[in-house]
Amino acid sequence: MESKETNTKTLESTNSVARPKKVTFRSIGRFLWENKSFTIGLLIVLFMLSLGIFADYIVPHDAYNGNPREKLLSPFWMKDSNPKYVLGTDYIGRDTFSRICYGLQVSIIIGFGSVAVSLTIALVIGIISGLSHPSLLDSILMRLTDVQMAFPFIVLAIIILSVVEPTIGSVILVLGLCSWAVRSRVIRSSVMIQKESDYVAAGIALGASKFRIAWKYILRNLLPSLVAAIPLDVANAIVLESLLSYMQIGLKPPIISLGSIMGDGRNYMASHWWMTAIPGFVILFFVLGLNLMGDTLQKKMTDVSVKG
Amino acid sequence: MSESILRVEDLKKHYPIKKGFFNRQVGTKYVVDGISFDIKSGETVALIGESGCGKTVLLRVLLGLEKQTSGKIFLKGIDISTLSKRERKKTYQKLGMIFQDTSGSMHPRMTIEQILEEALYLVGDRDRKSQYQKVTDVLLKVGLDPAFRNRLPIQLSGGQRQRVVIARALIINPAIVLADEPVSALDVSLQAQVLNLFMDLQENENLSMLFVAHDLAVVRQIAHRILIMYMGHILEEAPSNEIYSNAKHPYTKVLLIASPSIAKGINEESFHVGLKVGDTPDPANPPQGCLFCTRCMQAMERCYKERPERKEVSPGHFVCCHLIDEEES
Amino acid sequence: MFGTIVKRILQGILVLVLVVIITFVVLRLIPGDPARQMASDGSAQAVEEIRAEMGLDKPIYVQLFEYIPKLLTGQLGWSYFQKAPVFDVIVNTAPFTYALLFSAMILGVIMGLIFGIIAAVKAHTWVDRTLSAIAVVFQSMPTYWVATMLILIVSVQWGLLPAVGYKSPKYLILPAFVVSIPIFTAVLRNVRQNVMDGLSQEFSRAARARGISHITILFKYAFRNSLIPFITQIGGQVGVSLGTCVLIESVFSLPGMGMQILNAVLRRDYNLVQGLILILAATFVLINAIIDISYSYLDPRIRKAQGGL
Repeated sequence: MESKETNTKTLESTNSVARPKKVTFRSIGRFLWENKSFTIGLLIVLFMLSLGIFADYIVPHDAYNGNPREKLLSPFWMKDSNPKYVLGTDYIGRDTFSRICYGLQVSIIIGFGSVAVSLTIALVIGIISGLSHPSLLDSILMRLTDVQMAFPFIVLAIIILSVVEPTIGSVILVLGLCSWAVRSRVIRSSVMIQKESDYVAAGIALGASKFRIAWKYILRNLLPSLVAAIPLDVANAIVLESLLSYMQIGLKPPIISLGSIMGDGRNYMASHWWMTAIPGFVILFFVLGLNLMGDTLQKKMTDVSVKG
Repeated sequence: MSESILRVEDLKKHYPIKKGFFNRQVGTKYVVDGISFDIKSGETVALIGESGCGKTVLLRVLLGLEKQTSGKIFLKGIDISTLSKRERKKTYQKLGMIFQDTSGSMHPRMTIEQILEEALYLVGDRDRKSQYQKVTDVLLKVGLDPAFRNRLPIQLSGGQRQRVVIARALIINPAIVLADEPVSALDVSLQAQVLNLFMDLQENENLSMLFVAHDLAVVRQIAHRILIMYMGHILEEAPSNEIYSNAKHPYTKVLLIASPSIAKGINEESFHVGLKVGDTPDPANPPQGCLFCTRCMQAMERCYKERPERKEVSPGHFVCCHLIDEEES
Repeated sequence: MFGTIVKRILQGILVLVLVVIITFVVLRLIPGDPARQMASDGSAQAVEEIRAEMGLDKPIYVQLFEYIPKLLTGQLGWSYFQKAPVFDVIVNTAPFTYALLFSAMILGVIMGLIFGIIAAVKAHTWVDRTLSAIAVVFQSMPTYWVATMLILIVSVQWGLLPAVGYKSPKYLILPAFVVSIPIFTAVLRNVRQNVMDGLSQEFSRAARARGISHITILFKYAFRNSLIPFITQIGGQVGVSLGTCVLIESVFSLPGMGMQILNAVLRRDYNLVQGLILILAATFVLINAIIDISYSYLDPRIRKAQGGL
């Protein structure tokens, strides 16, 4: 493990060990080549993100108002399709592809927004309870996370969304409030381990304040693994958002959600199955891309923390 | 050797043992139980003891990571044991710490430069320009190329990491350096290098140091005085030469025999030593008499009943053992 | 040990009390008055009478102080829409949910175990890669969407299995399969990782050097080593799966607690919502308490490390 050095050298030169890695185009390229599943995931995610973000410039038709004379058209590979509508139209003749682009836009906003909310809550609660560990405050916060985990998410969401009007903002809050508990436990146990480490002891011995310990020492070590968790959490949030809309307790029209596009197709399922299937596949691919990225990132993070 | 740098008076650290649902206190662990010593300017004192004898806890108390149960700690004459963290910072008398686990004591995601600058920042040195110069100087002082500053700890070898940890202890210009087994994790050739570094520092920097180790062989060349610690107490204290040539306490003799490199020149017969089978007693329930009586081959009846007093057998050589009285009479 | 168990049980009770209080308060903050929906003629007087009868005219904290002592004596109250005691509604619906949960857990865990071990033994071959790919695709499928698609293909197109409602255990097959998917993928990944770790450990290599057969090493050494992370994970899965059950029941119109609870929330049937949430939360708390206690029993190291759980 340790390189042998001879006594004759008084100054240890930097050539004896590998130089620190610099981020270059070449190193990025190599990372992408060596982690092909990450690259596939990244390509899918980038594709979905661009569809959503540039929806205004991409959509070929009006996503909100349809042409009833061209309703219930099939996607391009089937009979009864109209080349104008690549993925067909819904029951009042709105273009499915255009609606999916806007649905993706909403998914992206809500996915990242709610993860920002839940990670912030998880960080604050995890760090506070981990630092104050054997204390009343810690016990209270841990019981609070227990409560969140014991509550069936769907019920909690319905209850909250019947109090507040379901808008993009409120759905972000609901999803954020319903999914911080697991993450905050992970953070707490990591904080508790770090708190006992010698590098924190070294800081405290030199007079570092609690705030500085939390900010400069503990958070710094926590951040990479949190970043690695983001794709998986966003994937989760996207599925939950579409679920709420599908069950008609989430976003209300005219806001388009992938879940409500699916829900619209439900009544025509036996004859026009693609209306439900297509938005489902879009969610599946988006989530698959995020999961592929997240898996690789998490594996890399644990590798680093084991070595460090 | 004149000015007293670190003086400890009857320092105790006891831990309550709590049990059951209501966390009732059912006993006390006497981890550090009445330790006194005095380290003078430029002096290196070695504290020797087995693992679990309380030496690490003693260091944590000295650093202020834990509050002592009783006793006083004087750093350059100022009693720091009663000061709060903030007041402690204001005294500007600093303790440099060298941890046993070198990689664990450095933040895995900070570069060497950030680690060293953080130490400076925490002691109030916040001038970026002078920080840069100080990092260069201290790295040279411990024998590392200043180009190492941009590395992460993980990118260094074990010996290099140990030098960085020493650099961090030195960069704040401490009144005294506390070293917790600084070489025990290194292999022999690296041990020699690091010990050489310490000797250079003693010579050039007038370094005062408390050097904790579990083995007498390591400290032979660098310690001026040696304290032998067992179960939270000091059993023998003597100048370095005295320990190696004229150890009095049976426990010290056992430690000497245990170090092959020292034991070579010693006539084993004359020491009458050996160790009874058995573990160290539970620090929650220490023996009533001499602490070492449960493992001492020469234990007499008296040793089980009465705890021996600390006696000065020759100038600067103190022993806690009933055998001394036997020898005199 | 005994102290740990008592502590764990008390913690569980505390969590349930908090769940009851939060549900109680939030339900009464929801706009929408059950009395107005129930009053037959809709006249103001009829509404007032029903409100008084249900105790809704009093302040929330008074209602809460009246509710909790009743709860402690086991009275869950009366469901106004089902026209039956809440207790009876739960007794009638809970078996469906538990049967669904249980069969899905069994299915998911067995499939996950088998394929996880296969993937670990064949690590880094095309078998392992295929299984990992299947796992990540399955993990990415929204369960409610899978449920809808399965109804369409298996029931409507092929006519193999019944789609909605419940008349015989055959009706549980599709829902149980859907609920088992996330369990399957999670168990597969977990078992694969831990068995692989176990196989690469010193004791497994030493056993191989002594000529012990592969199968023995696999089950006696590597798998045993992965038991604790595996059990821990199952505990977490129970909570997630309970939520999935609630949801999938409504897709398949299974008359379980999930269906009831969604309808009860929408109809503001306070007592019923309260009772059902309590039972669901209690199930989750109980299973996790059992798992915590059992693995602290399995591994004495955890007993110490558990600390502030």
